[in-house]
Amino acid sequence: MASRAPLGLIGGVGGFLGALPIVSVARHLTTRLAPGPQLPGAERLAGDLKAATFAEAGVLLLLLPLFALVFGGLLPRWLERRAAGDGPSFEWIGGVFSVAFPVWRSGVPARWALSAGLAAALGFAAFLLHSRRRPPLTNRLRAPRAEPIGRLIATAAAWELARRASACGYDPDFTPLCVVALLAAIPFFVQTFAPGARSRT
Amino acid sequence: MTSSFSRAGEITWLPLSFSSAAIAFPRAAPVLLATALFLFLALPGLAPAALVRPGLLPVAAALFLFVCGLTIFVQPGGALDLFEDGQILAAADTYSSGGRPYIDTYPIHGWGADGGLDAFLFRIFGATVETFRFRRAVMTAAALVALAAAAAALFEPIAWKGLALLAALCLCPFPSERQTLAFAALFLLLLAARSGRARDFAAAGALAACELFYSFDLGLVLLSGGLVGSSTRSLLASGLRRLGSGPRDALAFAGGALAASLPFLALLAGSGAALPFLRASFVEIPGAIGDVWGIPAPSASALLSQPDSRATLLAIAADPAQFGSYLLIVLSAAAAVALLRSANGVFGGVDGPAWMSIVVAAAAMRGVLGRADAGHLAFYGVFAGLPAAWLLYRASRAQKGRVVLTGVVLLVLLLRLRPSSTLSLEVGAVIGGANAREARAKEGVLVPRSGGATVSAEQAAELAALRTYFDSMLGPKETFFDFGNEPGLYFLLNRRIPVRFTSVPCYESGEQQDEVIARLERERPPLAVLASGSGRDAFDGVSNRERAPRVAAYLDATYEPFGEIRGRKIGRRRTGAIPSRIP
Repeated sequence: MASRAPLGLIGGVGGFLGALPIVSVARHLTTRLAPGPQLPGAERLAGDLKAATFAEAGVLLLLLPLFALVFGGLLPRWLERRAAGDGPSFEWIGGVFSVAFPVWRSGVPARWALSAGLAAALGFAAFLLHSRRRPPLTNRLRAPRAEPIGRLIATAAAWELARRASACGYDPDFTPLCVVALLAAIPFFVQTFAPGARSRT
Repeated sequence: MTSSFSRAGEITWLPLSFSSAAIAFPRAAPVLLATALFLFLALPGLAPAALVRPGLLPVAAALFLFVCGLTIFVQPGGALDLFEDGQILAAADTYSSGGRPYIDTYPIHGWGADGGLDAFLFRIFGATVETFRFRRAVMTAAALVALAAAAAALFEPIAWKGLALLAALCLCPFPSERQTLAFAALFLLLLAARSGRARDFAAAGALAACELFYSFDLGLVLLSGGLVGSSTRSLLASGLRRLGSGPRDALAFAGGALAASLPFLALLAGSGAALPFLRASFVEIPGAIGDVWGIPAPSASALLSQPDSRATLLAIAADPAQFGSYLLIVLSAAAAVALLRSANGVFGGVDGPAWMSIVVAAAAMRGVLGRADAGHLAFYGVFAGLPAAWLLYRASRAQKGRVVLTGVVLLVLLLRLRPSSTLSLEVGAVIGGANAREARAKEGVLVPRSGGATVSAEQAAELAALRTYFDSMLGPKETFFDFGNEPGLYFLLNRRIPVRFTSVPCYESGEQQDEVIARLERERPPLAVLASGSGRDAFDGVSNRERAPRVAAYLDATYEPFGEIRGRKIGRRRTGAIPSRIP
């Protein structure tokens, strides 16, 4: 599908941004693995680890451009060759992957943020591939029926009560897990709007 | 009218050359500039034949830049930096008196830069500060020309050539003589990326290898960047489909480097210094340099992950400590754009040379982040200027969203680069060069071994007091030991350096401290400068005593305080008190 953005921009920027949390992972790993300064100097005085700085630089200079390449060029081209029909560009997978960056900045540990981004990107890729074989999504959207809304609200309230009552609220890994689950579920949830899927339920 | 303009355009090299002459000879400037004006206006009408010759304009531009550089950097007056300049002068003196590189010296910047070249020139022009300063000025002016040549090799349109040079100067307004060969090697590398000829890659490799023996770290930057760039350029040009001429180009580059290294290695081997060179350059210095000379750089992940977006943006845009992170992001973006262009099958033209400049700039980031201060950022960060200009060039030529993309890239670049103030700085330096030279000449004072160069009156008085003192206390063959990081004193007081290290941070490892103690035990210098009484006693807030505790303990045990000369604490060797055990 023709885009108003230059070729590779959306996927490239998305891949680049989404991979930024790796900088933190690299620093963390290097801090654990590399020995500290052995000789006197400003590094030892400040308790700094130069290897960690170089690891960050390595990620920024090597990995981030590679992620931009994968999400902005290689992956969309590869999927485009395999997907039938017309639809939104596969570069949007990179755009979705970029959610890892705001998730990381919100305080979620980098590994979870990356997992969330990758899960969302995978889910969205699956959705795009699937939707290419079907009529445009907008044709399939129907107004939701009011009937199940009450049941949905009741279910959500029960879930929230369970969260508050249990120790989940204090578990630091709980929120990231939920984010991953939520993002991974989105494409499948959207698929339920398809006419065939709806008739099956 | 149009024809007149085009005829005038053919002879721009002429007024440019006359302008160069006017800067070089200020007294004749009115005549030279008037002649330039006359010829520029009249020659198109007077000479009916074509006035343009290929290469004349680049040569005239190079000459103009070289003369501008000379007028800025030829400054025979002014105080001598007893540490920075002293490292070179003391080592050059050692070579002049038969010392061998890496055996009797420890050149951390490189053999040529740390006295090797000066020792050679000292034999021809005399071992004086004047020779040293003039050599450095000429090489620094040449660095400016080489940088301009590299910028010109990146782009075809002349405006973009100028913009690339300006971007580089924004990062490093005044180049260093150590960069000359590096810029020249980069220039050849970019030419090779344009032509694709193996012999051009070989020439680039040869010059990069010469830089390795002159300024070791920059040589490594060019060699590693050149090798990676030359081996991957054709892969990118093919849309990531085949290696193409990459292996051949890399082989030519490496072959050129090896061939150019042989004469240097033969010279080193002739004095038995080949193995010490390899050990010092590839084992000892890389193993210690980060700990000893490193200055912490702020964490990029801490910067990017902080929740306050405004604080993050503000730090990237304005915090001087985060300049390194900013350059990393710019280079990373440039690399991503190059890879994407390759994947999309539109990598060509200027992109090949740009890829080379990106890879070299990425390699140079090791220096930016190693000793993360403003000086080293300028010294190594200058290579990022060309990729930054290319990023803007690419945005301005995007097929879609050109205006938005150009605006965004321009905004990002102008966060840190200040073209207007850089231009003012450069122009001011050229205009004020001659006046500064005259003012320093008037105020300056000649001292022994300075030749025609002068030092400040204050420094001259300091040196005179020290010279009188040391000459009265030492015999003609005797020397002293400096523990205050002022190796320039050895040269200016005409005393040989008793150890191979010019400053304390060079011998922090236990093995090297033991070596210093052993040499001092053998030499037994009657006097020692125990402290310089200046900031040089504690580089980066770490005192010499902390840096070399064994040597400090040896000096405590072997030398007794014997007065103070111009702030320097002098120690006299105790008679018969030889420590049996150094802690």
